[in-house]
Amino acid sequence: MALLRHIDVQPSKNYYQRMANAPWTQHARDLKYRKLALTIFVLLILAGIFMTITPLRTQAYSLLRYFLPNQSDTLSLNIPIPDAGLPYEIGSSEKYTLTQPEVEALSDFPIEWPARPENLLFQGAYVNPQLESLSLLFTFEGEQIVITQRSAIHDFQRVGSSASIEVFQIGNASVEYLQGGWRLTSTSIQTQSADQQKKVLTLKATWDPNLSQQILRWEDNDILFEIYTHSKTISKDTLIEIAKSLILY
Amino acid sequence: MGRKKSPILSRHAFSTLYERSHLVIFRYIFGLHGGPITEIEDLTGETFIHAWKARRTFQGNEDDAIYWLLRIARNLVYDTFRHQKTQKTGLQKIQNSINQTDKDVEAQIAHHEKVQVLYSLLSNLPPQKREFIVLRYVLGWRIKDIAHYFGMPENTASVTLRRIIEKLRQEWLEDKIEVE
Repeated sequence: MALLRHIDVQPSKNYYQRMANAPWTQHARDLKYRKLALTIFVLLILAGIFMTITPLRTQAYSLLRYFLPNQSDTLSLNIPIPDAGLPYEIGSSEKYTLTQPEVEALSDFPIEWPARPENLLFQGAYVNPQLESLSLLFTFEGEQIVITQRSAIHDFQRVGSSASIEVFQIGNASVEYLQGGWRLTSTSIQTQSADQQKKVLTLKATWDPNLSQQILRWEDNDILFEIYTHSKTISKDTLIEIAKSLILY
Repeated sequence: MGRKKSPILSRHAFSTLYERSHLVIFRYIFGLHGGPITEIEDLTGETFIHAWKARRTFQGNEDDAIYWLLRIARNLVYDTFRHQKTQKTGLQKIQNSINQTDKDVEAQIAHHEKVQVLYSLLSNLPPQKREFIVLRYVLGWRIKDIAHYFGMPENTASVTLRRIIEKLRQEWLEDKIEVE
């Protein structure tokens, strides 16, 4: 047995080169650059907003992390559509074609599955690998609920100036709850003439606090979570119950 | 409220675990599987990728994390055996990894033969018995740790290990007689 004690095997250089690209190292590296790029982007937007808005928004809004109040309740935006699509587009339920094992296999991060309420039924999943986001479609009492999880690049959603956003704590997560939404008055997608591949979405919308749309957002261990429903019957308490079953403490 | 948070959830925590344990896992797989090295490296990498994906489900402290990684590695090695049937032919390159300080050529040949015989005997052991030997002699674990890993009393682990060694010793002598 003494022979076995003198084994001194070491992995080769190739192994270490390969493992240098492992998810736990790669993500950290990528995240650094992406956070830097995003910070610059957010700073530019904020600079624009502060130059055009007087007076500044209320102090309460400065505490929000996931929703960005607009200067008014009307919105007119030209948004370049990224090649990868939009991270939180809900779209038609037909695109949620993946089963639970299929989405688990495709995801780069461990997926959290809601344990409550009991009659929350999984219908299918959709993955956007470029954005590292996945959306899980559930039904609860016949109504749709979408849970989106993505590697946390911090982003925010623009809301109307009169939007009411609640902030509360579940475990260690600071959760933001929004009810209401932009009621679109007109939309169009235009292709830029200089580059036929680039598309711009032009939106005109008015903020409607009574729109049957509810969103919960929070971040937990580098994963950004969003629970979305446009159901008129699903309550805030049901969404919070789902969130509690997803949040680790 | 939700479940208890895994201590290796963050990238930083997992990266620290990887740095601390990858050589242990590599040698463990080497001991169980035997080679070639490229396959051992693949299995080691695969072990950590599996663990990374399942890290949310892990519960326990840092020592438990090593046990958990070893179990993932063991399952992967057994899967390889089932699929490739390399169980009997592995371990052929082990002799290259032994520290050879004796420069006498004849001694080296003798040493080489001993290693060949030993690993041939090891590869004939049932998986769990081979794992005992790998944990005790390749990784240098104490009996107490092996007992904890297998979830058995220390005394049982000690007796089991002694029986395995005794069996190996008998077969070693029989093999040596056959060689001679």
